[in-house]
Amino acid sequence: MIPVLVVTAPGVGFDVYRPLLEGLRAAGARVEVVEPGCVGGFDSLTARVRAEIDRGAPTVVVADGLGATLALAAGGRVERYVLLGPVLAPPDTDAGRAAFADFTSPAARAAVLGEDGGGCVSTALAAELAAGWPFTPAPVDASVWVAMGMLDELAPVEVVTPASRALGPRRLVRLGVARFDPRDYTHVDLIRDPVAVEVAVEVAVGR
Amino acid sequence: MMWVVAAWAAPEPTLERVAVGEAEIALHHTPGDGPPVVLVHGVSCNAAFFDLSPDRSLVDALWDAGFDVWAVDLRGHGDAAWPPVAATLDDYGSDVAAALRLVAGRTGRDPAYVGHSMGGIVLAYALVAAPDLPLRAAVIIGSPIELRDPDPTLRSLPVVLPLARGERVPTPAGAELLSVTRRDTVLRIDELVHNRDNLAREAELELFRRQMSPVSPRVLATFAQAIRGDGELRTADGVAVRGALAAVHTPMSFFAGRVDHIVSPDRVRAYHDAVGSTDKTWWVAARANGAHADYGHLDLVIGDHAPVDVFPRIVAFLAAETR
Repeated sequence: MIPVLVVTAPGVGFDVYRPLLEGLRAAGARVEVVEPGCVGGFDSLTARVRAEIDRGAPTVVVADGLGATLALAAGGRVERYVLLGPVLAPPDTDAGRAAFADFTSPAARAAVLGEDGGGCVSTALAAELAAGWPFTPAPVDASVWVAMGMLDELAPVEVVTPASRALGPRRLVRLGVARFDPRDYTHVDLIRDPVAVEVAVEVAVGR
Repeated sequence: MMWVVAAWAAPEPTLERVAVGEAEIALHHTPGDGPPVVLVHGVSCNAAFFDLSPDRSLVDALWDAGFDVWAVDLRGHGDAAWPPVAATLDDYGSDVAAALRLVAGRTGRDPAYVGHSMGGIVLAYALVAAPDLPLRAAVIIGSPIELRDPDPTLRSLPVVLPLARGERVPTPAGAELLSVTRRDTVLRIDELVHNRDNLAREAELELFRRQMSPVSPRVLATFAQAIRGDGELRTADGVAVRGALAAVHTPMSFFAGRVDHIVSPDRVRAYHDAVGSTDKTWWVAARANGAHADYGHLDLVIGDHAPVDVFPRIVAFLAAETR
């Protein structure tokens, strides 16, 4: 069985991940989940993720949003990154700037994650996001697959595409109408929409 | 009341055809007292794209703001005859250079520029060939400068291109077909080219039935070559246009549509990032930026909400840069 570590994202509720987790298990993956948690700053959350990566290494890491940020910052022996709307730099829309200025505010977060994406965020991490972006993407020694949603306001395409080049060679996919998918996707859609989940699962298990 | 409306309506544009080598371009001039601005359309469109109807006319918005407006038909588009040889992007760059020089000569002022889609690309081609062009400022709307990381729709271009036999790709006939079918039946093309929630059906029909021009297969071949290769758009001399833009220091403002499936915002951003100018702005037409809709490709100019969301930003930028 292929070991897959799913790193959930601060600000996204666990229920949102159920379709993704079920899809991975149905595809034969041995799935572990790390929830970085609602307490601690960027470094301590990163350390928590790193400990889980080390426990199962080498592994496939599936992560979205700020979970992807933490997973990339964590490093470790990773065979493949499957990144769904990874936050590699802050969004530069009005809504994105407002959300990152106060990520503890459910209303501000809803503007980039939708009303039903709600999960907890540590006040320490939110303070760090408000003070300045804590992560610089760098080349990774693993294959990287990045999915983007055209309606993803947490990780908008105009931010993810250029920033992801710093990771080294990577495969980039804009899920949505341009791929003849049924519709365009928001950030949480990347984790729970059947079409988006199916694509991510196939990449994660190496089909 | 009728008199007041008539007094404020933009005058009918005059039409002038101008030779560019063995080809010709057409200039639709709506005279104003203020700074000149040249408008250049995208692939398969023509100058009428900027003046689709009174309620969605960038020409009127600029004229209302005092600009002297020159909307261009590139060779083979609109009122400009099909050229003896199918055009390349370099040829369109020559058309743009000719238009800018002509307008500068007529008005005695360096014109500003607005390019939509390919209209933005060919400005880059013009600047690479002639960095000293008279150009005060430029607005780039939904234009790519590279085709890296292509979507399946783009990747299909090199595959279908061999089907485009002959001198011109008859896109008007395809658009006519779209106009008599339901919106979502023909390969969802309408959904690819604009946000249907931001373009009333009657405006879409007006575009499809009357405002389309054939496409040069040599232009599509250049796109296909980039897609098959490293994604860079190149001149006929092999110069990667994106890299050459570092030498361009013209003030520029860039507009992208959140759900633009033809030129996604990251491609417009690459154009923005490539330009050497430090005086440049960037805006995604998205609800997350306070717009009334998430914009697609064509509705950046002809969308239901473009006169409220987009036109004032274009006017404000050009007014500031041409003051």
